[in-house]
Amino acid sequence: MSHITFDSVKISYKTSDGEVEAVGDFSAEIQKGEFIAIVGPSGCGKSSVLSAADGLLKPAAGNVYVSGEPVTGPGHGRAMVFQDASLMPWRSVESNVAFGLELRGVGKAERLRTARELVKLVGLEGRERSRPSQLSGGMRQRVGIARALAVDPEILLMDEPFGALDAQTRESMGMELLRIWENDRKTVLFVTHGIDEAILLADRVLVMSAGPRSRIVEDITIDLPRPRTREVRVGREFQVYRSRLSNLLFGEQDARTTEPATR
Amino acid sequence: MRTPKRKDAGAPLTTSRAGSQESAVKVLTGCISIVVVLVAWQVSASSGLVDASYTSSPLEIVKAAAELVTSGELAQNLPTTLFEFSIGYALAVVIGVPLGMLMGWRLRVRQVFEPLLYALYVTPSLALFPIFVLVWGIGTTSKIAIVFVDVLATVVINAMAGVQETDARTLRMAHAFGAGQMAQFWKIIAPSAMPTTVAGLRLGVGRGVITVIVAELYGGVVGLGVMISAYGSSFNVPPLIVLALLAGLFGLIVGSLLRRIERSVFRWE
Amino acid sequence: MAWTSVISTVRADDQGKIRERVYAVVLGGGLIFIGAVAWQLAVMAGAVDEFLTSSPVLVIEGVVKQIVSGELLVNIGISGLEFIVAFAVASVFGISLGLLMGRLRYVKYAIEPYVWLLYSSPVIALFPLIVLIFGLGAPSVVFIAIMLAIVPLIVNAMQGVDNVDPGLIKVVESFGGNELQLLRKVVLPASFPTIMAGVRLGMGRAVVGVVVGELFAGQGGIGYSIDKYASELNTTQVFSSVLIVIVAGLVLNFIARALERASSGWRTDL
Repeated sequence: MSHITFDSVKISYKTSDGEVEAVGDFSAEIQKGEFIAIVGPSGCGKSSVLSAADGLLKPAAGNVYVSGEPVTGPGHGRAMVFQDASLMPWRSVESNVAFGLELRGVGKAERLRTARELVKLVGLEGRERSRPSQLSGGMRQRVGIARALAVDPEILLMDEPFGALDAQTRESMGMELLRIWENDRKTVLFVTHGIDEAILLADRVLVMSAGPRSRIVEDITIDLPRPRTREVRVGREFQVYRSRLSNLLFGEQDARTTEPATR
Repeated sequence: MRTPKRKDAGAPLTTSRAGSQESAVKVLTGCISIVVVLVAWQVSASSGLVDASYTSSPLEIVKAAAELVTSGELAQNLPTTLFEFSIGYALAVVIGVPLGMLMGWRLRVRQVFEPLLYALYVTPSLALFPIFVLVWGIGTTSKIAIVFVDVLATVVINAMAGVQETDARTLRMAHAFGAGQMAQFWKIIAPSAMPTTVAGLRLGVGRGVITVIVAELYGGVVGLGVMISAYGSSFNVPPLIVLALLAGLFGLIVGSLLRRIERSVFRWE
Repeated sequence: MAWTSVISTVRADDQGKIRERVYAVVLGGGLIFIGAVAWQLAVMAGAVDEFLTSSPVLVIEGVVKQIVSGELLVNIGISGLEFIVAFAVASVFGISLGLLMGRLRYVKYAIEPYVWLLYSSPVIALFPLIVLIFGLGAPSVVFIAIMLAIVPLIVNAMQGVDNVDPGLIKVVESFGGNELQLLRKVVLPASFPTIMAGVRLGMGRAVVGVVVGELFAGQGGIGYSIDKYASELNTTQVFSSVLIVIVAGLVLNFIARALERASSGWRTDL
């Protein structure tokens, strides 16, 4: 049985001009331990798909199943990493990381121990007591990842987690994420608009069409060896995937200019 | 105020309520709520559920309002109250705005007046009213004085804050372009202080209206507050509520009118 | 620590700060001092009638008299108690209502009109009715003070909730937190600074409510004293009582500001 099943998920929302069907018919099967990237033009509803998988958003039609059970609300097996980290500015790093455990009623000593381990895992040792305002954007997102990992979810949902970072930080965060993921290979749904990022990280890339009524137009398996390193990028295979995705997303003529090549 | 970030499609949760639709819901809910309260009030009073001699009822209040208008009583008293308020308010604006701006601009001026104004700001100015009555009697002058004092602190403090909020970079830019002190004041400081200053003027209206009425209530010859006092001592509740509502609505309407003007004039804020 | 060592550690920019502080005290105090001296001289020279205008020396004597006779203590006790009760009730109800209005928009839309009406209405105008219901004295004064103080408490709590980062609310939902946890762990700490600013404003308005309430409906307290002495044409004691009100206002404002500043450190513990 697949770990996550999207069964004809439709997502719609109200605007002043009436109801808009953002996501038309989203169906996918995701296996346990797979790293899935969802890419698509902005406004295609890829983040909504993620929210539906978390249970934050109820699909207008269709269902999301996790291990065969329909998703009715946020559940313990899943954890979300948010686009802008969404940390509590009044809490220290470790207290932010422990937040999910705190909500689930884990005792203070235990949740702080777990939090410190994870702070170490994401490479922020020594910054346990810092406030989010004292951290850089990349560091803040590390805290966001640690917070999600702290509740030890089976599924990690990541909503453009590195979208706000500069290109260089973005790449090193990606490599860092892979390093952490290699430990226990959780199932990951990773929403991004970066093609390179998607290829570098994922086992499969789901490409969505532009909204409204967006759907999956292509399901590309990325057959690159793991563990991956930065060097993957210069390989010929990477470039093939890259131009294929560019064509899908931006059309043939723009393929060379839309995203700067690796420097 | 900060607007939540809206990017891509976390959107279904946040943009689901379109602005105009939402404000219609707001007005509608407010109106329903007012109607429900009025009906409940009327029913509970006329059914004898509560003692209507205490609470009066909406119909009685409307009747009392009509009477106050037709008997000419309101027309007799309202002008005095408006006069006292307007003069006191105008004096406070004419003195307060320049003083506040000067205090914001010049440190030494601020240091001279700040303690006094601060004391005035944190004390209930109506506590001074008995003194004014001792000095000027219960006529118009003491009311003008109390409105002036009450509004002055608000006006000065906002004008001062407005000047202090002037962007230092803009000032440096003006200085670099060779603007002298006076040019800096008139072309940069005064305009950029306007929104906050005008907000102070708006707050002053609300405070001033309440103050003039309460002062008249304490001791006066003619005016809304004097009427309130008369009806109050004979426990004639409906006109009492009419007059209190009238004052409240006046403050509310002038306040929101000024806020609307502020919004359209200072659109860059 | 020896004084010399204190002085020797003063750096140049500190010296500038100290000079500024001296200026502030000398200039600000100067205006008040000159005013007081002019007033005193005018009285001594017979330019104004001492019975009508009193004088700074008499006013200070009046304050001392109130202290010695114990009148001040009694008045502060009465007014202080009224203030505390009114402020506590207004805080509990105002903040709860504001939080509720911030979380449930229909409640907000239904109640907001009354809050603004309360804000712009002269509550004191209803004092005959209030006295009829609550009786003359402390209960009426407390009621008036509550009505005045509650407005900024409601409004600020509401705005505080309105301005909570929606991302943080989503975090709580995503981790499966309930409404109570959302309130305790995100809404309250995030809106805390705004709520505390409301507490400061509410304190100020509670003072106004107590003093003005006593002026009209009191049977004791500082505001009542002002009214009593005014009706006896005792100018000096009116001034003395007003001076006490001013000092009380300054002290309370100082406390409120200190509270507001200190509170930024408490958010973590909520």
